[in-house]
Amino acid sequence: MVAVKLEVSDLNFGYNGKTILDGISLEIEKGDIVSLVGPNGAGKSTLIKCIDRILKPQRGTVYIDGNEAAQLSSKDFSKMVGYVPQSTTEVFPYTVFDIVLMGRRPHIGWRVTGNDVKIVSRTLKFMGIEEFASRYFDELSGGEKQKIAMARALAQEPEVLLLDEPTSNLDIKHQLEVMNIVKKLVWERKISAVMAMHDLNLASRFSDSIVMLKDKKVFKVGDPKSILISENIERVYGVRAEVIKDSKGMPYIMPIEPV
Amino acid sequence: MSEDEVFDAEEVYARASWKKTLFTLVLFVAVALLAVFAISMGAASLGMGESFRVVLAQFMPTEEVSTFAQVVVLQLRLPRILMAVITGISLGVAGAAMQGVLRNPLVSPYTLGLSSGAACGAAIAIVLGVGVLGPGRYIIAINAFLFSLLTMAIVYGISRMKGTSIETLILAGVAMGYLFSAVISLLKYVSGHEELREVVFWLMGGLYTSRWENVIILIPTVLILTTILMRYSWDLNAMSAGEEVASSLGINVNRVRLTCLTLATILTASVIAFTGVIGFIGLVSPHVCRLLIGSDHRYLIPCSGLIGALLLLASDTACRTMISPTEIPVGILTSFIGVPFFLYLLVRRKRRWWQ
Amino acid sequence: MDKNVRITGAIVSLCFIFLSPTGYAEETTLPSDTVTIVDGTGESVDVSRPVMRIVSITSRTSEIICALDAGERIVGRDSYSIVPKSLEDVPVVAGSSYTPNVELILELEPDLVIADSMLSDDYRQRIEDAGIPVIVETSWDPATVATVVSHLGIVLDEEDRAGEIIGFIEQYHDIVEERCADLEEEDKPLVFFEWSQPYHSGASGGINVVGDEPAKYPTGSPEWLAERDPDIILRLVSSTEDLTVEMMEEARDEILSRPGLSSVKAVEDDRAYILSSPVTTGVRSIIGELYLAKWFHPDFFEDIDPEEVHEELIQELFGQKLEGVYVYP
Repeated sequence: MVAVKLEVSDLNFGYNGKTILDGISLEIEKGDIVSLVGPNGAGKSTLIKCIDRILKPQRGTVYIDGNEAAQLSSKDFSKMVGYVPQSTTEVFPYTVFDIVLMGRRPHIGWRVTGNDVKIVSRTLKFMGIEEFASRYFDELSGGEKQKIAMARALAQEPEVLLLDEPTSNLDIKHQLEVMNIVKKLVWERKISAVMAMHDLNLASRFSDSIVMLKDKKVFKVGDPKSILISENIERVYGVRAEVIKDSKGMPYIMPIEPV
Repeated sequence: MSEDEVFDAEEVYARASWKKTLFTLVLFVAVALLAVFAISMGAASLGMGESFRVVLAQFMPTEEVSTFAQVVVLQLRLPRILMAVITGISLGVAGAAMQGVLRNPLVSPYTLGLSSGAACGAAIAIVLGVGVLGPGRYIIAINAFLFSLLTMAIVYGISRMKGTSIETLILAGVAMGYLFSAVISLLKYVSGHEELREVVFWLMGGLYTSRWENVIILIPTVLILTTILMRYSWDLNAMSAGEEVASSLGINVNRVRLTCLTLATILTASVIAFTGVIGFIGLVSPHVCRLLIGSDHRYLIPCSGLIGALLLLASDTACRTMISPTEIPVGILTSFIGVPFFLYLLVRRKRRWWQ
Repeated sequence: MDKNVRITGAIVSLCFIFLSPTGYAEETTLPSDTVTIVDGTGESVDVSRPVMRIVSITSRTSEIICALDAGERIVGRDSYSIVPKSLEDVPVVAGSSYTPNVELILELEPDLVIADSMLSDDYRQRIEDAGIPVIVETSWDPATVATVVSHLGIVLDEEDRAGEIIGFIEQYHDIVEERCADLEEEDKPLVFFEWSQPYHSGASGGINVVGDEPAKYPTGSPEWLAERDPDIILRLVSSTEDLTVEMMEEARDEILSRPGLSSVKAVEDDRAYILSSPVTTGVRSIIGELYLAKWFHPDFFEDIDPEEVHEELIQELFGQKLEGVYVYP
């Protein structure tokens, strides 16, 4: 029986009288890549933020390894869960190394240790951006910045990685690079990844499981092949689409027209 | 990335850290040297040699120095130099902290209305002779200090109603600033000539009332508050990436924000209670620092303080010697010295991080 | 042997102790004594006489000191102390009492520093901490200037001379008072004094039109002024340069041509007068008082020409000729 790494139970979130998420429940197994999909405003990002304790849900519980996440101190929680935002801007000049080093914050008491420096260095190597270590963040391209944000989350040495639309602002090459890194992470380090995904095809290709969100609730959960079918896409996105199989047998969605 | 390129990130980091530490030390030495030089500067024609003999005489009673030299160096110059250093440190540190907390390079210690609040408190003491803690020698200083804290409390209170976002903080601060300025204008209008002059002088900021009693209170205060603030360096670093990322790194953003703002407020209020509003230092010191060594708050906070000390000490020394016997209020000169230097750095460096 | 040495030593020491006062007497100055003055701020200030080096950082005392024949004793002044001309060579150690340069003042090693009430307590403290007495005088109108002159007379050991000056001032002050004593309220002109020190127009038989206003230096709107309808408008001008007739004429014309004031009695009767500060405060304030008296009640004071009195005063005080313009017209 594969362990349930992360569980969300009956989660509600809203603000200003508007409900965004209504009774969301899902389970994520250890070593899985899970994609949250749905149209804009479906609450994908919101759910990610609720899981990461960036937003406080009005109701519901998040469990990690069977324990209530809310019981953990913020520091301990951050040692277990890493977050990669959709885009990052740095208001002030920092080097790439500095930024990734910030990911060590949950582990740093007062001083930066040699171990922290080593971990950052290794993470940079892993992400393939070691050469940028002394460069300033704002000098780099969008794709490189995204990798740096990921490196920062990885420096936390998390067991769960949350990614908020990691590929939205990237070109095709960087999209593939980032997704391959996620795959590598999960494979090598047994990290569980939850991604809010905008691109159905990338989700299809790289996820173990897909969660479709519609009307503030979970619409369907399952593996890509069974979930990504035309009826579901039409119901959730309001778009008629043709689903064909790509060379690996995974569904490939070609949107045709809005319904 | 080719395999034959040996690129050691660890080494890069070590070198960068060493460079920053060295920079901090250099600044420290620079401040010390400038202070030593400033002791020999003044309207009276006491040279370096004689000034030093006065200081020496404190430790070796065998030295013979005239009472006049003693009074000038020990009662007039030395407390003032120390005051300049301590005030510069305070403003530089507070400025760095405020910019970090509010994630905005245009912010200064006075952005949340502090200067207007302090000035209003001082004006009330000067014009109406009314002090919050009753009359006394320190009526102006105490009023100014308490009004600064009051301003911060009001601004924070207002912003809390809208979820303490950075924008509400700044806007509330601006509004309070205007309110207090209006009160000050009113007080100026009804005041007599002498009082009016005093208020205007206070607003210009000056170090001529530096006394040992004040210096002795301020040195430990500023040093302790700065040390506490430095413990938040990491949090401030992480907060620059935004609230969400900071949260995800385990930082209680609201609490850190409140704490750092409070510390910065007390730091600023403590010194301007005595010196009046000395502008520009809190805004410019952190920037100069960033242009030279980047934004790592572990180094930014102390270095910004030291640069503030350098700027202020240099300005004040110039103020009291340039046109003898007249003294220019130091607040006027800080802008004149600071701006060209800052512009030079701006133009020369290639990094433009506010785009 | 030791005992002898000790006895000799004792005798020699005793000789030194008893003979030294006389021995040193030729080298020291005259035995000093100390006087205590209660200055304008109510502080009791002990001053050891003789006072040979004075720093005076207010023009009003500088004038008085010179008048008391002690001008050469002034070793430091403020930038406004330029009368009489002999002061021009004295080093400037302060912009005014508000901005003294303490280092320069201490460097001069004065026996006494005299200032006006603009000197902050903090600065006063510092100078006193260095062992130098500070006298602060605060009021300068004809009624109280006599006290100041007398204080300085005592301090400078020129009490006779002080008496002469006071006599001169009081003589004219008495005349004005006498002649205005029987004035009824209706006979007193309503006076509007523009800008600055509350002037004691009361003594000269006038009523200050803003006497009962709450703000100290209110800026009156032309309407309000028109309503009050003063009989006389006075204006004090001061300038960093020497005042000329043209400047004063201009100031006067400005008042007379101000829109909204054309119906005011003072403007209709052409009774607008310009004064400058040297004759409104300090030892020459009696002159100002005389001018006011003459403007307010020309018929009572026909026999007195304030300008002549001024000439006399300048001659009396400084042994100089009267120069410069002080009033208009």
